[in-house]
Amino acid sequence: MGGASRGLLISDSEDSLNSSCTLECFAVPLPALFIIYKQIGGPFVADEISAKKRRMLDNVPSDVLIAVAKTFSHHSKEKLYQDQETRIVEVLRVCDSETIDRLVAEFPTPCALVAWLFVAEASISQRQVSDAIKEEVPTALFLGIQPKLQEAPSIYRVDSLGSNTMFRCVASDRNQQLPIAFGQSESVKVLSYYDALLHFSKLQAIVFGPYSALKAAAVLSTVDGLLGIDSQWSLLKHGIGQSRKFYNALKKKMDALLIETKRHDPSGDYRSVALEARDKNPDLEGVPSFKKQYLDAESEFDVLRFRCKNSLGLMESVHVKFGRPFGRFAFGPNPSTSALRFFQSQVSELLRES
Amino acid sequence: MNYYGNPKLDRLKSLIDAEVRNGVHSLRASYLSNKYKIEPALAQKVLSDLVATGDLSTHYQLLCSGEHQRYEVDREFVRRDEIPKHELTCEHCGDRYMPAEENIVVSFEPTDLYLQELAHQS
Repeated sequence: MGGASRGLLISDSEDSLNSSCTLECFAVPLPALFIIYKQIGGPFVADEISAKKRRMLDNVPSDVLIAVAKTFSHHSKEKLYQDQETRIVEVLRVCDSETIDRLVAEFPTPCALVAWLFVAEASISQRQVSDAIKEEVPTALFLGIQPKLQEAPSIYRVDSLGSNTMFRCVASDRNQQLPIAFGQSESVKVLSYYDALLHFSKLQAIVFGPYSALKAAAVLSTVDGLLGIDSQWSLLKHGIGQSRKFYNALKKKMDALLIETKRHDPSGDYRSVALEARDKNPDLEGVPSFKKQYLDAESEFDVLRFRCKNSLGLMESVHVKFGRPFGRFAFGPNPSTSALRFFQSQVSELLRES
Repeated sequence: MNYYGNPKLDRLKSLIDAEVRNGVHSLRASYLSNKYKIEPALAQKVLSDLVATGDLSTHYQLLCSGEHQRYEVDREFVRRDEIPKHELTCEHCGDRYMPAEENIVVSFEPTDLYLQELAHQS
């Protein structure tokens, strides 16, 4: 559940989970277009390769495509259980446009793994953000630009998704040691791609990709700079010494299961013990030996599994891993925007109550 | 340290004694706090006091909080002021991370003196 994903998504409606989306065109490298053309069929003309098809190909999990298509009559099971490209063609054939839009909006990034949750302290209305997007975002950004690569994040594309807007950022902000010759390595500057989600009633954000809070804040600072607003973002995280209280409250609130954890072993010499739930006991806290030996021990990380319904009407099972630094959550296997927003609302409520 | 006259602290001290007698070698405030439902700050205070009296010694661990999220202990220190304040590269996974309050973990381990005292008492 590690790694980075790409972009920044803005939602400006409380009920945007149920809203449809309108996709604009965007820049796609020609080789990629050719692959799409080859996979989903159709003439080899860039303009005719739908952004929706591309997004579905990249982002929507196969089980979701199958479940959605099955709710429509005239679907072919045979085609749904073939390769992803055939599946997408079948989904596009049988589903109505509203459902297609929801599918695309629910899965706006290839993987929404590492995420930071923010809330704006400034009082900024939905209208202000919408107006700022209309007035401040250059048209070129909706098409996609070649960004200036620098340490600070640069926005290279803005995607409108109905009431949501995706900001995609890139930063040249880390070095990687690469083995360039036998016994010799070289430090190479590499790129990071980042994402986020802003939504209302109160302006909130989810930033995907960075491994540190500072980098996540830098992404939002870049977005604020583009939109000309000062959101005064505040990271949603518990305080030092509050980890277990937060964990217990979150688990209870979401009726979640502890499926994996790494805990300090008080009887060992500084050892950590990694434990995983099994089918027989899907919640580790229900395992007698765990209760006896590790329930009270300090967590290095915990993974909770919770369930929620997305805007497609499907129940999702989402894993979320958290530990240190506080405020960083890693999601899997491929959560929808609805699931992420649901999680954020739960965390936000918990921290407000405490 | 003599907590005589303060029942709350005396109780916590006796709980720590019992934990060590039961084979716990690495105490953390969060563990005591979770297990005995006491304030983390109070547990931390008593543990720190026991360090001052020579019953416990501190052991600082830096958890790697880099992008691969392995949550492994990268480096260990005896004193807090030994911990670097600059960005580090994890010796195990190569991730870069900043030693911050959140990923510095302190464990308390019984000294030989303390173990001998407990042995005499039992």
